[in-house]
Amino acid sequence: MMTTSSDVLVVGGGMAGAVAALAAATRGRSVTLLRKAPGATALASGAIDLAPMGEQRHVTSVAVASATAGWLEAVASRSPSHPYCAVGPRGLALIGDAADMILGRLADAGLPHAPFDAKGRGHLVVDLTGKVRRVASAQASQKLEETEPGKRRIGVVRFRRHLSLDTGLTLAGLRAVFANVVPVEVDWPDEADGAFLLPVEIGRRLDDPRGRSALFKLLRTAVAGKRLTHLVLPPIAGLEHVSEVMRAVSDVTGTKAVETLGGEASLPGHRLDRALSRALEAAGVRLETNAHGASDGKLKRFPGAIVLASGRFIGGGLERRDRLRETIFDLPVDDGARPIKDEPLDVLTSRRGLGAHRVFRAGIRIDENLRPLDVGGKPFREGLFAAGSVIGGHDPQADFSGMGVAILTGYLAGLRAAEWKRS
Amino acid sequence: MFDLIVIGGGVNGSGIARDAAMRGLSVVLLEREDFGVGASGNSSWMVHGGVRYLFSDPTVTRDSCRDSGYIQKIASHLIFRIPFLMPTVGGRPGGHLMDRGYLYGVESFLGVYDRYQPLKHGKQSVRLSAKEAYDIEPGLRRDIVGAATLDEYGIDAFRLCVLNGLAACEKGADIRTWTEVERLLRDGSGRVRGVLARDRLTGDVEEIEGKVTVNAAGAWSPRLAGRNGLSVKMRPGKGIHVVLDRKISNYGIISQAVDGRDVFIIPLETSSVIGTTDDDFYGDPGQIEVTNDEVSYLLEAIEHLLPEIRKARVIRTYAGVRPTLYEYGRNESDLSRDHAIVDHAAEGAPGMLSMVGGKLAAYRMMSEEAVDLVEDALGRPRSKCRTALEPLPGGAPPLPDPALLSEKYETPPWETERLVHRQGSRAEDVLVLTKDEPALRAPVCQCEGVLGAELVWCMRNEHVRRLSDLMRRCRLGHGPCGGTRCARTAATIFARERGLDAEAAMAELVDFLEGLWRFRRPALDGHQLAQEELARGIWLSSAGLDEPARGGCR
Repeated sequence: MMTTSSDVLVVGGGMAGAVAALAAATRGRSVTLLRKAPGATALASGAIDLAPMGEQRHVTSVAVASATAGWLEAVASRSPSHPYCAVGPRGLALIGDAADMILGRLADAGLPHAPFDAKGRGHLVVDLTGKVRRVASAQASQKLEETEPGKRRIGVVRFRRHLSLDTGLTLAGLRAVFANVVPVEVDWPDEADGAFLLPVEIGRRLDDPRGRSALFKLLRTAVAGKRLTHLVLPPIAGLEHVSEVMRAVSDVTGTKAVETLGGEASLPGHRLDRALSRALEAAGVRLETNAHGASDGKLKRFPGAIVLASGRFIGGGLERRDRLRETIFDLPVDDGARPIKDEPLDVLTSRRGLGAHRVFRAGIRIDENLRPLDVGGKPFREGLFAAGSVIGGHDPQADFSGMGVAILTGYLAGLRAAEWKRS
Repeated sequence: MFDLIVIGGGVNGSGIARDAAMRGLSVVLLEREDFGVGASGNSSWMVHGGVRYLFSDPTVTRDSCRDSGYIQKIASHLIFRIPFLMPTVGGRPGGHLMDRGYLYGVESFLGVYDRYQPLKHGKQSVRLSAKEAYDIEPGLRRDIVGAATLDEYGIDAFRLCVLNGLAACEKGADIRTWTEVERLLRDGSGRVRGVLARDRLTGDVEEIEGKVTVNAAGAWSPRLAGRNGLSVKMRPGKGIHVVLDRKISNYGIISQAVDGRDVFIIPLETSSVIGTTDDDFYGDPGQIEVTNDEVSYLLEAIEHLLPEIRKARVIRTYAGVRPTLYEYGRNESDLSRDHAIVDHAAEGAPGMLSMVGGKLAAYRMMSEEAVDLVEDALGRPRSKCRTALEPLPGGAPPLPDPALLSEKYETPPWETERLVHRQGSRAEDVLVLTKDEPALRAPVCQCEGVLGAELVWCMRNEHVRRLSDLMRRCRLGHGPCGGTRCARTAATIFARERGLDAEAAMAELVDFLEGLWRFRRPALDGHQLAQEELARGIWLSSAGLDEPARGGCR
C-alpha cells in the first residue's frame, strides 16, 4: 500500500476521520485518509448535536426553554461507558477546541456553521416534522433566528409540485410550538419533470442564479402581504453556495430564511461530506477513495499511527453475520456494559423499534488515550487509536451525541496519533 | 337490520360479503383491523392447486385448480405465473440410479397433477436435465441430476381481499374495517340476532342487527365463538415467511428442510419469498411473532439448493395463523386443507355459521357454499352465484397498456406498470388525479413503484383508515428500505387527505414504522443493520420521532 510514506493513516472519511486527519495534519504530520465511499456523515441531518440540551429534547415553547448548564458533563457522569466519560475530564474539556477547529475549516470550505455553543442556550433548529430543538451548532442555513415571540410570524414554504419536499408535517409541527405559522405555497419546480427532481438536483438548480430566479419570483408574490418574519424552507438551499442562496431568499422575501434539517437523501449531509473533502484537500491530507481493501494485511503492517474511524454498520466498521464483529482488526465489541458476540438479535434489540437497542450501542472500547482495548482491557496494538461511532457505549442516532462524539474523539485521536512515536 | 353480518375481512369474509351482496342481500362486513391481516394476506400468495394434497386430499387439489382458473378470469391483473423447479440432488456426477429413479417418481407424480393443470391454465410439467436446469437457474448447487417443473400462479392476496370488499361495497354492502366484534347479541331463544361492535379508532360502540351472522374470523374464530359460549374446533397453524431483497432466483424452487418438509423460494413482486413453517399455535393470533430460529430454519432449507442464499439481504418476515381443520394426533403439515362450515344451531345458537379451514385458491367456491347456506337460513331460495363470472374491480379485460398510460400521463414506466398490476383497468382512473395535481406523477415508494396518485386514490377509494393500511393496498413500506424513503411523504399526504393535526399524523407514522419493525427485527442481520442505522438516524434525529408517546411538541 501507498501509505507507508505517511506518518498517520486514518481509516474512514466521515466526520470523525476528517477531524482526526485535520488535527494530525495541523501538528505537521503527513496524513493519508482511506475512505470506501460516503458513509453516515454524508447522510446526516446537518445538526451538530452533542447531547440533548436541557431536560427535554424538544422545545415545546421557546419562551420557557432553557439549556441546563453542565449537561455535557452530566452525560459523562451519568453514563460511564459513554465516550465522553471514557476520554476523561481533560479530554472532554477539549470539545470546544475540537469544534472550533472543524467548524472553522468547514467555513473556509464554504459551509459556515452557527458558532459552537456548548455552554449556553445553543441554537434552535427545526426538524422535518416541525419539532424544534436546541443544538450546539448546525449549518448556518439551519439556524432559526430567535426574535421576540409576539412579533414572530413564520411562513413555511410548500412546493406544490414536489411530493417529497412537501412540508405539510413541518407546518403542522411548528403550529404546535409557535402561534403564527402560515403556509407559503408556490407552484414550483415549474418544468414538466420538476416532480421528479432529487433534492440534490434542486440544490444545484438553486446554486445557479438563473435557475433560482423563477422560484424567487414566485416566492416574492407568495409572501406579499403576509408580514412574515421567518421563512422555513425544506432542506434544498443549494449544494455548493448555500450561504449565497439563503441570503438571496432572505433578501427577496424580507424574512429570516431557515432550512429544516435534512432527512432521507439529506442534502445538508451531502453538503457536509463535500465540504469535509475540500477541507481535507486544503490541509494537504492525501485522500484515497474507493479504498475497499482496508482490512487486508498491508494495513495491519502499516508502520505509523493508525486512526480507526470506520463507523458502525453504514460505514462498515462493524458488521454482523451471525456474530457481531469489528471488521478490520477483529477487536472485541461491547455495548458499553457487556460484551456482545453471537447473541441472537432478539436479545440485542427491543420490541419498540424507535426505542433503545443494545446492537445500536455496540462498538469497540477505548482508554483515555483513545486506544482500542483488547478482551483483557489492555491497548490492542501500539499506535492504534479510534474515533467516532466505531466506539461503543453510545447510540449516535438516538442519544443525539453522534456528531459530538465524532468531533471530540476524532480530534483527540488525531492529536494522539500525531504525538505517537514507535517505542 | 341486515340480512347478513360477516365477521372478518380475510379472503373468506370479503368473498362471502361480495357473493352475498351480488345476490341482493343487505350485508355488513366487520373487520377488527384491515383486509387480509391474518392468514390471507400473510400466506404464500399462491393460488395453487395444492400439489401437496394430491394423494391425501384430491378434492382439495381439484377444487383449488378449478377456482384458481376462475380467479385468473376475474382478477387477471393481480395474477402472476410462478413456474417451479423441483431439483433432484445426486451424490455423484451423472447421478446415481436411485436419484434417477426418484426423479422419475417425481415426474410421474407431477404427471398425475398435470391432469388438473388445464383447470388453471397451467403448463404441463417438463423434465429438465441438469444442464437445462443450470441454464435457467444458475444459482443451483452443482450436483443436481435434473429437475422437474411445476406450473403455479400467485396473486397479491391483500389486494384480493380488498377487491372482494370493494366489490361488495359497490353492490351496497357496508364495509367497516378497524371494527371489532365485542360480543354476539342473542335473543331469548338463543338465536344470534346480531353483534355488539366497537370502532377501534373512534371508540364508538354500536349494536348491529342481522338475520344471519357468519363468523369468518379465521384464526380468531375459536376465540370469538368461545367468548360467546359457542365452540369452533380448529387446529391453528402458524406459518412464517422470510422476504429477501430482490429476486434471487428466476423460478420458484422447492427444497427440503432438515426435517424433510418442503420449503420453497419464489420470486414475488420485487422480492424473493421463502416459506413456510407450520407449527401448532394456540396463542392470540394478533400477537404472533417470528423467531430467529424460524428464520434460520427457512434459510437453511433453501441453502441446501441455493448455496449463496446467505449472501442475500433479508429485509423482513411475515407471519400468519392458518385456521386449519381440527384433527388430533397428526403432524401439522399432514393436516387437511379442506374446509367446513359449522352451523351453530346445533349448539342452540341458530342464525350463526362459522367458516373453518380452506385454502386461498378455493375461497370463491367456499364463499359460494357459505352464501348458499345463508340463503337457506334466511328461508329464501338459493339464487345463482355469479362470482366466477363477473370481474373483480379492475379485473375486467382488456387490461390497459402501461406503456401507453405512461406516455399519456407522463408517469415513469415501471411505476405505471406496477400500478396496472395492482389496479388493472382502473389504472387510468388513478392517473387522472395527476391532471389536477402534477406532483402526484412522482413515485413516493421507489422500492415498490407506488406513485403519489396511487396513494391518494387508495386513501380516497379503498377503505384506508390508517396509514398502515397502505402496506396492504399497494405494498407501501414492504420493500428493502422499509419505509425510510416513503413513510414521511405518505404520512404528509395522509394527514392532508384526512385533515390530521401534528399529533395524529405522528401517531400514524409511528404506528406504520413500528408495524414494520416488528417483523423486521427477527431477521435483522448483515447489511440490513446498515439500513436500520440509517432509518434510526432519520426517524430519531431528523423527524423527531423519539417522543411519540407525548405526541410531539404539545
